Amino acid sequence: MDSMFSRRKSRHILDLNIVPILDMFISVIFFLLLSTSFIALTKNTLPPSSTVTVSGADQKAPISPKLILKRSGGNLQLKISWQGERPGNNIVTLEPSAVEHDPGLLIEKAHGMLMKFKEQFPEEKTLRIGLSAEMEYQKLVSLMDAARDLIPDAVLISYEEANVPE
Amino acid sequence: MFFNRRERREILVLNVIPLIDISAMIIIFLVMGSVFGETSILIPPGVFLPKSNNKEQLLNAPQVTISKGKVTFTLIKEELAIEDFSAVGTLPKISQLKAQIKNYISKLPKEDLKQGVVLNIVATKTEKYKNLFDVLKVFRESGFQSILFLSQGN
Repeated sequence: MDSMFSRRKSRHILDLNIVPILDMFISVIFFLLLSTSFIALTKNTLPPSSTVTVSGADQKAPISPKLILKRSGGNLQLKISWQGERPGNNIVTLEPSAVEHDPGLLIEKAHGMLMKFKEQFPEEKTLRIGLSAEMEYQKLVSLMDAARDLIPDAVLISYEEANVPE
Repeated sequence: MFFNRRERREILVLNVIPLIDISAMIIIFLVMGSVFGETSILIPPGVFLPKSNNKEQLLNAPQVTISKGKVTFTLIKEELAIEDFSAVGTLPKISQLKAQIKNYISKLPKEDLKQGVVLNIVATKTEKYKNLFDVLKVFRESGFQSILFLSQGN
């Protein structure tokens, strides 16, 4: 009779204590969030230098376009010049404060100049880029950005050559 | 009456399994998305990379960092001053650096040489072109063929 009312011994269920696991996960998330840099990194490539051998006498003179950014008075002067059978140049003057305020302006102007050049010389694949000594690295990257789609290979020229008056 | 069991109270149980799933997903996402996950590029504090609209992937390569008047190169422990690179004539330090680079390049496997000897440049966006050019000139002369300017994507 007594056994009728006696409760069954409850089964012991093995419970996994997940609280420490959760704690650990949250700590790891915080650690990762703090240590991660959420910037997308990219690169601008300066390709290996190469030489071209001219074998025939009937070869056209190289155009060798040059894109130069330098100070001219109180302004920035962006100039593209080229040699060859039809030498020429194109100059744009920019206000330094406008370029500082809107970094895209330099890309836009340089891209416009290069578009016009590319219409005349669609086969040209190498652009020499030069800046005067005091110009910032950001401006070099902006010029490379402007040129990448139109003239893929960039060659850097020295600041001394960039400063030579023509 | 005595034997009537009380109605069992329902205990509210928090289902933590989705929480664990999400946590695990976040961890995986963060680990995969971290810069250190893909390459071993170190950007020292105080270096603000230039911005670029390019979307090219980074490459693992030796790294030159130009910051606060100092030049560091991953293959050597010593820090060099920028002035050492622009000095007239080649300083013994620079000659030694060139020799070390040439030695490093000579030991590279042939497969790596097919892609060209690549160098990553990390410099702050306000660095002067003169400093950048003088440093690059030395590394180019030493045998690095392709130079990758690291930038921050827009």
